[in-house]
Amino acid sequence: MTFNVYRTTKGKIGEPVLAEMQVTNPRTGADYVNIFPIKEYYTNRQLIKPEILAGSLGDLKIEVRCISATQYLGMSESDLYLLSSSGNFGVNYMKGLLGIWLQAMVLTAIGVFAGTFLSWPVALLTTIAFFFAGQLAYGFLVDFTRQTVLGGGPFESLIRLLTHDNQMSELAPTAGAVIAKTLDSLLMPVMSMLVYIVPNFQALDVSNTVADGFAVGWSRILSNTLLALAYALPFSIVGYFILKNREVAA
Amino acid sequence: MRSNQNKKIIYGLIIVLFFGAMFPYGAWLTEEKKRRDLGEAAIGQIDTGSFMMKLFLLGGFRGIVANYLWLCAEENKRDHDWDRLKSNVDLITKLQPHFLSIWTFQGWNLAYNVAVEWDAPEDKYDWIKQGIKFVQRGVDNNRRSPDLIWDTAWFYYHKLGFSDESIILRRLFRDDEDEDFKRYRDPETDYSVVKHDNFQLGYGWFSRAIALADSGASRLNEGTTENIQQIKYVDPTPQRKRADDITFRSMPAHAQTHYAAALEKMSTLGIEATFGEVARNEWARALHEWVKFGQYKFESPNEINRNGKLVRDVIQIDDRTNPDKFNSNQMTKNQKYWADRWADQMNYRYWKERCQAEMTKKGTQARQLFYEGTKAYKTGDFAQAAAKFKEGLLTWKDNLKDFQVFRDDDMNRKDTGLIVKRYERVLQQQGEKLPDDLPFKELLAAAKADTTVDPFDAMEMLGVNPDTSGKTPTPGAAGGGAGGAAPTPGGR
Repeated sequence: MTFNVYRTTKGKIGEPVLAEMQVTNPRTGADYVNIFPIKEYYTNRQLIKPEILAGSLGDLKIEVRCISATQYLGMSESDLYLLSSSGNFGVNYMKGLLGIWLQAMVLTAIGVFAGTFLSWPVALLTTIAFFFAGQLAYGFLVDFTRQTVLGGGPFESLIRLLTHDNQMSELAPTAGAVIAKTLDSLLMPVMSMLVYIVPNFQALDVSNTVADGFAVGWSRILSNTLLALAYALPFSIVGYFILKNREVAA
Repeated sequence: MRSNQNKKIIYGLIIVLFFGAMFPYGAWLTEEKKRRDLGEAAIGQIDTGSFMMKLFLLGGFRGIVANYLWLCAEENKRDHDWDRLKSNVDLITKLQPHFLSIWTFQGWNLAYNVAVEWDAPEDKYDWIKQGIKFVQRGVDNNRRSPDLIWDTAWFYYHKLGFSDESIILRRLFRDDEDEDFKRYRDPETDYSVVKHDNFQLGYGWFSRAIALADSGASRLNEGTTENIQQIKYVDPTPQRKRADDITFRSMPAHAQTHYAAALEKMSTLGIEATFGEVARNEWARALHEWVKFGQYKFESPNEINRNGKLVRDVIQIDDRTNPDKFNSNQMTKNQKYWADRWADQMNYRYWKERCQAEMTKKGTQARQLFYEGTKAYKTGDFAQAAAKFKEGLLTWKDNLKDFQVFRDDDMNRKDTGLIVKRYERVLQQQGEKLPDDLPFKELLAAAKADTTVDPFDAMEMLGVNPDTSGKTPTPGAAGGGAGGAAPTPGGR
């Protein structure tokens, strides 16, 4: 489990905040109590004897309380987990690599697709643009589809840009602003659809999960593979037909 | 056809001419760069990876990527994702190694903002060290920047020396086996030395910053005296982001003084205080540093019309402590005004007199008696404590008779008042009252009203029985960092 320590007073310098953990089997009443010093931002491992679980039918109650006077401990749901055994790091690492490989596959498909009808420098820039949009700006693009981007659509933003207006305040309802908003309302739904052409590279990348020490589930691997194929195949098929219809020099 | 060929020849010749002209121009440019001390190598160490990354990978995108990484770093800080914050910050410095603000900003971020988020002193120390090493890397990359060197010194001096956990952080620093982290070049001897006290490191790095500024390297402009002169008629309250010239130059003296003062108490957890010849030498060095600072020739900020010409006066703060010179006609009215004003601003007379008073044999004796008395008081040996306090106060009074400014200063009144308060409590335990003729008895009322504790004295914070085994304190272990500190009778 991991904790945040909130000190309302400095306490005794150098002395850690203490926590008490009580593990109870609600069915048999068996319990286990331990007091331990908290190390903030570390994984505070506590061993629980397996006998506690006997006859629990899957139920277990864990209570953690701060016992240092005037201090508090902060914890969220995902900060506590029971670990029956550690998984295999090698396998997890390979899953992380697979995520990167899926990204590369989609990117290659886009590159080949672009290369079928564009010159190589333009195809290169197109592929890079797809990568940046999908990897770095995907959150922004999703906001865009939901039309929740601060400052409105492209036309409204243009007006704000030219008038040096901030993004927060409502524009005065001048003729120009009304026209801009009308144009935005026509354009935004169309542009919102186009956003989904950009692959969600962030979703394919599971390297952070591996780096944080958590297992990547097989179901996630499967869904990511399907997602990658869902992007790579259409790009490849379109590229195939474009190339087929081009005159290829002998 | 023929004219076409002629054109080609002419164009070709023009190209050859341009290229030909480029060679002498290139050679002149290289020479000029060398002469004016410009170019990457002159600024600091060249990081090949960083150079290649900037040149080939990103080209014109460098600024955008750097901005993006700044945003990521801020987000990492918000999310408490410290390791990613560190790696993002490292990447920014690879892209912009000569952008000085990033070294200061992110070094501060690591040493102060990240360190404070961690609960255990060992973790705090680790991040402070990372912050210091980060800004030191900035110094390697920008060898001509006195400000980055000064920042490094400040982190050693202030973050390790004035935190709430200083007594533990100083011990962790003392026990740190990373000698490169504890190394500086002594300004007097120019030898590379390894020291085990953060104030000594602060002194070394502050001195190096001043030596570099004196050799002609320019400081960032904000808040320097030069800058104030420039904007005299525009806005008298500039937003000062940097120490001005006077503060900048006073810091070696401050660091040395704090080192000497820290020697005479248990300012490092589990390390006994040091007195005698060693302490006297350090106070003498502190005095030397203050006098050096006081005799530095500053320029007056205002210009005075002398013989039809507007000139700036030379101001030496030390003149304020020299009554013969100060009260004579050797100094102009303007010089007296600024010497007096700046001496007050820096509390110069106090610091100088303090060093003079503390460096005497009686001074260190009195401090030793106070220390031993406090130790006896905290361990319940009241007879011993009473004898030590009494003798100490008498010696201290005798010692301070020639140092009126120091004696009457609030800082000394507070320190001495605390001893009187302890003495009174010791006598209470013995069923006695303070004698009427006790020196400094008038300080008792204020000392009693003051309930603050000295966070830089381990004996006061954690008791007198700290771990003296030379082992790094482990606050995570049972009993905390105090190593099972003895109870403190009656508080302070």
